[in-house]
Parts: sequence; structure tokens; C-alpha cells
Amino acid sequence: MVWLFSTHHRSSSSSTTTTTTTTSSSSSSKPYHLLLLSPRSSFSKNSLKAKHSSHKRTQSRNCKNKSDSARTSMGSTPVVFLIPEVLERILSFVPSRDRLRARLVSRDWCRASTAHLDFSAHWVEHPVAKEYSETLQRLGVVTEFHYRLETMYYEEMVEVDVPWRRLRDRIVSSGRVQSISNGSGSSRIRLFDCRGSIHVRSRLLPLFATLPQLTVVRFEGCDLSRVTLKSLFRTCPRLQVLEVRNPSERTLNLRQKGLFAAVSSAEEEREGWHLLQGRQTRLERVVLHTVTIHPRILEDLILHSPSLNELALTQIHAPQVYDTPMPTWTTSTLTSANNVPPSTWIIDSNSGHKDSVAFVDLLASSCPKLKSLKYDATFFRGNELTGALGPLTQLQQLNIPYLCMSRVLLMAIEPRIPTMTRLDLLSGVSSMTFEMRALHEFLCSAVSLETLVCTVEVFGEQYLDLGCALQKLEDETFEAESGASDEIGEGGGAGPFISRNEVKVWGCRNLKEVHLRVSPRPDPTASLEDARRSSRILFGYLSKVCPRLTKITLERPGLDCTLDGGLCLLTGLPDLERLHVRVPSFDTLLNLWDFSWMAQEPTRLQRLADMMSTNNSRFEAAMRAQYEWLGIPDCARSDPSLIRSRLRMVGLSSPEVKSTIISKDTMTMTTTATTATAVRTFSDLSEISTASSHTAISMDLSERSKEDLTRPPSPTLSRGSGRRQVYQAGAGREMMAAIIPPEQRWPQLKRLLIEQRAGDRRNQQVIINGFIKKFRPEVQVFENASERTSN
Amino acid sequence: MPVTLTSLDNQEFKVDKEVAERSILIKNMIEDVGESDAPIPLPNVSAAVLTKVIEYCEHHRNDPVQVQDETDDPRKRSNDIEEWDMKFMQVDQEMLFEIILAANYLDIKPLLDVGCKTVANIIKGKTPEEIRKAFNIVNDFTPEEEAQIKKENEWAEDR
Repeated sequence: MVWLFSTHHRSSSSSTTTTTTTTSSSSSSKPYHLLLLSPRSSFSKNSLKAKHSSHKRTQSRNCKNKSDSARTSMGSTPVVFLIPEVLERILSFVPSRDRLRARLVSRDWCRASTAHLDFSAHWVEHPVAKEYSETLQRLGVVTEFHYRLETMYYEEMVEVDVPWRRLRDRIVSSGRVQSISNGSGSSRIRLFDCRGSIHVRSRLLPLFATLPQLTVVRFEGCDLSRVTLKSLFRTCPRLQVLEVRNPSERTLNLRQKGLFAAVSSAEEEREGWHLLQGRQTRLERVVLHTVTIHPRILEDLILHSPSLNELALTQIHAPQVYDTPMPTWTTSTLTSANNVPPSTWIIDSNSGHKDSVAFVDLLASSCPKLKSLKYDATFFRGNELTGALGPLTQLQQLNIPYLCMSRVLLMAIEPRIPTMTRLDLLSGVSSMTFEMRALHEFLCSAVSLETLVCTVEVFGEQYLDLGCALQKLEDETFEAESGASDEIGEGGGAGPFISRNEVKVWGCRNLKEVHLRVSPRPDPTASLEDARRSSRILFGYLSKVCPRLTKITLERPGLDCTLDGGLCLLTGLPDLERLHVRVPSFDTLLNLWDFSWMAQEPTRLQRLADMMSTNNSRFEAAMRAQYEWLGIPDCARSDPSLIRSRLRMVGLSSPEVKSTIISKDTMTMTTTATTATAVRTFSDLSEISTASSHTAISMDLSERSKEDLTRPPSPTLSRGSGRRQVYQAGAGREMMAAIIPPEQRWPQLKRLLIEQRAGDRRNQQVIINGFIKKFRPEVQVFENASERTSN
Repeated sequence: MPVTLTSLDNQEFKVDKEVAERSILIKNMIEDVGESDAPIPLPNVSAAVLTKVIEYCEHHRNDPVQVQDETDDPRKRSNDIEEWDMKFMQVDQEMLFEIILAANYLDIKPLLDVGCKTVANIIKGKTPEEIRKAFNIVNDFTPEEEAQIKKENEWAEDR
């Protein structure tokens, strides 16, 4: 009987596989003889001893040539640092600044640290390269090379050629010289970023030919042609990432616009359309933005890139010049055409709608590993995209027009929704209602979603406000339980039947980034209080349902960033790093006190000012509205069991919800007379979790006894009754601390921008930035529009 | 079904199969050999280290098995360590290195990562001289090489 033991044995220098065969006659107690082999291998006592002794020999040999290298013996160096793979792994967890320092420890450490470090060099031709000698010095270690041309049409200038030739020669020679950090003896450049109207064929391809590790190439506004692209793939067979971007179509000049230029059918006949001539590429990521490309070239690229896992095609245009009218291609021929020379097919033309679907079909059949698709064709309907997306079983990121969102699409990609990590939606003309509903359903099911980008006209905010629906559901449940009606939803008199599906919240507990740009038509009937309420609902919903958010961009007319608008509700997001709120059509004046709650460590004077004014009470009122989206406008005066039950109904749980009754004997600090003696504070403090994501955030801040839960809330306090609310001094502080402790106010925040509107005649932006700087001096604010754009 | 593991010093450990199979090496062995009562010798792991490794595997027996992602970028690795793991790794330096070696040998990637993260935390913030002193590492650079690396580091910080 034969057992086959197969272990992967990777030596420090190369990777090999060792396969060993052994025999045994016993079947009941088969021996494990081969466990001496290490799986990852570099570790076995003998091999280490050998490595150790060879290292010593090398060291002693080196010592003869060095002045001070024989300082200590190698005897006690931990073995773990002698295994390059383990050392590399350890250093991969070290921050880059420390990794840089670690390069100075020893030769082994230098090699291991350098493996995870990027060094960049910039080459700027203007048209003559500026300060190029320093760039040339760096070439031995550089991993990212940025080649930029600031002027056009320079080929005839002789002085331009001299530095370029030196660059080429130095790249070639740096590849031949083996340096400490460059153990392989070849140039380390793996990324080449080209900007400007560079003639790729004459300037860049000769450089690429000397870069064996080149895997990423980016072109921005460069002169590319079909022939150049063909040469590029021939020169760089290891290419994994190809990005071609151009400025907006309007700014393109004729020469740039002709990228992958259109050719006549005569030329087509002569040269053929096979960009890759049957060779497979290793491309994993292709990004084409504002590019005129012949469909056949794109098609050829896709057909020969089976490893493609990310494809982004935006503003793609087919060439307009043809000798003969082009026939269109049908889906059926496309899907079976892997080995057949493709005929004509147009992405963006009169028949574009049909062909766009055919294009996605082609993708599905050619690139089974595709994980991310970005395609802005405006011809799609959801159900047409459906069939095409079906075979893409590994799809995790989808970037499509908003109008593609439909129930049919959801049904088609249903098995993949729980694993999807990113959704980008672009605005499109549509009926809105279906798309909004479909988007909400998608978000309820997408438990792994980490990034949501919506640039839409109308976002389904009504699905965030669950108060009415929950109330109805409770009434129906009560009636059903009390036997008022035989069937739920019938004869209740409370309107149409509400199903539990209608009170679902987003399932994406791990959502890290949300970019929401909504541009509805202005509603003249909306009041200020409506705007504040909808703002509180949005902020409260995001903070409770997506507690892991790190980056938020919100742009919506009417969003209120004052204390009453509840921006402070976002303090429930402990990981928030970046917040950008833009309100294009709302002119509420923001004041200093609208930002005072942001202070991490308020001064005594600030505390006093907040207490003496209405700042504290307004802040607390906003914080108590954190469950307004559940129909509970003031959680301090609501029954905790109601909040618990509503959280449970929407799929969130709060097992440790506690309430605090503040005792009568605490010192009262109030400005109006009232008989209220007790304020019931609800400290939220819920452990939000879902069974699916296993994500839990514990925010239990209050430690009062459960007996307090039994006491009824004070009936004398009601919102809008005209009475000022009463807080005891001690109680107020306690309640504040219970709702949100000071140290929790965005400890990770790095950037913050609050923009009020485009026409800033009162120069309010500068004033707002000043307020933010006053309370959070460490936070970066954006000073001008260009900075915002670049960030 | 229990599996018997034999350490370097011939001590035998009986562990559940699913616990033992946290090690890819042992898992592959069991799959290759099939049903067998024979003890599995682990001649590179001492009893003390094996005890710790088994403790880790016992605690993480229900964790989902990590799938090696081809696009796993070392630059994006998280440096977070779970609370239990952090306590588990509160051992002397020698034992810490032994655990890392054992995890590497037994192919237990999560344990290897926890060990590497712990060492990375020790390295963090230290100067090269302090690192050398902490781990008894010899500086084998010539002064010229050292100067060259310092210069390269400045370029990297220029970015």
C-alpha cells in the first residue's frame, strides 16, 4: 500500500515542492515517518545549523574586509530571525516608519524590511528633466517611478534626449548592480506612473523593457495607440495592472482623444485586431476612464485576461471613423466566441444597449474570477444585467448606474449579496421608487458591505424612519395576541398590514465608508423642524446601525449641522476618521456653540459656559433623540422595554439596556420653576449585534441597578409642553456621561469639513473651520476647494 | 476521535482530531494516512511548547479556517491582537520564539500571525541599536553600507 506525502518546502532562496512516497504493510497503525519534513520549511534543526554555520563563515569572511564588523558573536541570535520568511512576516506587521529603522539592524533585516517598503522617484520633464541627477541616484532602491511631462510635442528637442538617455542607462545599470536591499540584482521598479502627453512608444517602452519586475502601469493623458498597446504587452508580459485615464472629454485635445485610434476597415483587414496575438495576459486590474477604444481591442483584452478580477470602464467611446457600417453582435455569438475571431461590436452607439449586455456576457464567460465591476453604460435595465451577472460568482464589488437597481437584479445576485463588500451607484434618470426600494433591500442583506457610494437624485430616506411602521406592527401584534382579530392585519383598523420585512434595517454592521450625495428637487413646503428631524434620523440611524464607520461623506440639501440637527449623534462612531458634510441649499447659521461638544477635553471656562447657557441641554436633547428613527424622540423619557423591543424588531439587540433614575436629593440646577423631581435617563447602551455578522459594540456606560427599571417615567415631563426640562447638577453630568463620555468624541478623527452652501457670501466656511480648530486643534480642516478635491 | 501527538521529549498528548487539525501539517498527514492509531511524532516541538500550542488550538477550535487569499497584501495586514491571544502570548521571549517556530513548523497561520504581531509590537518604536541589543543581533554592515541605507531611508521619508 502506498501513501503519498506531499509537503511544500520553500527554501529561503527559492520555492520548491518536495514529494515523498513511503510504503507500509500495516493498515491499523500506519506510521507517520515523514513529519521531520517541515511544511513551510526553512525550519529544521539541521538546515538551521547549516544556515547558521554558513552565516558564520560568511560573516568571518566579511570581517576581513570590514573595520568593525566583528563586534559580537552570532551564537545567541534567536533562530526565529534566521528564517527569512518568518522575519519578513514579523516585519510586515511593523509600521512603515519602524520598518525603515529596522533596515539598519543587519543585512538580513534590511532585505526583509525592504520587501514591504515602497520608495518612489519623480522624473519631471519640462521639457528638460528637472533635478534629474538625484532621481538617478535613487534608482537602485526605487519601487515606484513617476514620469511626468509638463509640455507637449518635445520630440525634436535635442537637449531633452540627454537626461532621458542617462535615465535609461542608469535603469539598465542599476538592474545589473546587486545592492544590499536589492538582493535579486534587477531593478526593483514595479510601478510606473506616466502623466502628460508622453510618447509612449519612443520614450517609455524602451524603459519598460529593462524593468523585469514591472507589474503596474498607469497612463494619464499619454499618447497611446493600438500598436503601442500591442508592444506594451509584448514588452511587459508580467503586467498585472493597466490603468489608462484621461482628463474629461472636453479637455482632451485631438491627439489624446485618438487613443487606441480608430482605423479604417482596410487597415483592419491588413493588420487584424488581435492585440495579444493569442497570448494570455496576467492582467488582474484594468481601469479605462475617458478613453476612445475600439471595441475589438477591448474585447481581445478581456478574452485573453482570465485572471482579471477588477475591471473599471467609465466614459468609454468607440471610434467614430469607419469606411463601412458596422454590423452589431448578438449575445449568443459573443458567449460562444472565446476562440472565434470577434466581429464588430460597439459599446456606445445606437445599438449600444443590446451590446452592453452582450459585453457583460462576454466578461462573465471570459473572466470567471472577476470580483469588481465598474461599468457606467447607461443602457442597462436591471433585468438585462441580471442574466449577464449571473455567472460572475465571485463578484464582490459592483459599480453600476442607479437605474440598474431592481428586484430582478437582486434576485439574480442574491447568493452573492452577503459577501459583497462595495457598492457604487451612479445617478441616472429613473422612476426612483423601484430603485430606492431595491437599494434598501440590498443594504438590508449585504452583511459584508464595507463601502457604499451613492450619487443619486433621491435616496430612500423614508426607509430609515421606522417609527410609524413599528408602531403599526406593534398595534397589529397586540391585536393579534389579544384576539381582537382572527387574522393579523385584518380588521385592525390601523391601515394596511405591515410585515416584518418592512421594518428591516441595513445589515451592514461592518460598513466602513459611506459616501452619499443626494440631489432632490427642493421642497418649499418643508419646515425647519422637518429638516432637523430628518437630519437627526439620518445621523442617529448611521450611528446605531453602522457603528464601525470610519469615513462619511454626506451631501444633501437641508441637512442641519446645528446642535438641534443632531450632528453630535455621530459621536456614537468611535472609529470615525473623516467626516465631510456638505449642505448645498440650506442656510442655517452655524455658531461656536454648535461645535463646543466636539472638544475632547473642554476647559473649565467652556464647561461653565455650556452649563450657564442652553448648550448642554440642547446637546443632551439631541443625544436623547438617538432613537428617533425608531419612533422614540426622547429616549430619556421612554420605557426602556419599548426601546429594547423595537431594537429587537429591527434585528438589533440590546441585552444590557439599563436605565437610571436620578435621585431627588441631588442638587437641582434649573432656571425655570417646575415640579418635576426625577428625570429618567436612558443610557443607551446597547450591545448591538447580529447573528450573521457577529459584530458587537458594547456601549454600556451606566451601572445602575435593574430595580430602577421598574419605576415609571415622570409623567410631568413632555417634550414641547412649554416647560423647561429640569436636570440636577449631579444628575446632568451623570446623564451626559451615561449617554456619551467625553473621551468617546471621535478619538480617531483626522479630517473634518462642514460646508454650508456653494455661494458663501458671508465667508462662513472660514468661520466654521475656525470653530472646529478651536475645539479640535489636531483635526485637519480643508482650507480651499482644491484641497478638498485632492483629498 | 482523539489523535496522539508525540513531542520532542517523547511525551504523548491526546487531543481531539478537530483541535489537532488546526495545524495544516497534521491535517494533511491525517488525510494522507487515513484512519490510524499511531502517534504522530513532532520532533521539532518540545512538550512545553506543544502544551501551549494545544492550548491555543483548543481555544480557537471553532474559528473559521483562514483561506489563503492570493491577493493578501502584506501592506494591509492588521496589527490587532485579540485580548485572549494577547494574554496567551504573555510568556518569556524564549517561549515566544519557540511558539512562533512551532507555529511555522506545524503550519498554524493564525498562531504564527499572533506570534509575529507580538514580536512586531516589541520592535515598534525601538532604534536599530535597541533592536540589536534586545535580540542579540550582530551589525554586519560596513560604515559605507550603513550610510547608504540611511540615505535611502531619507528618500523613502521624502515621498
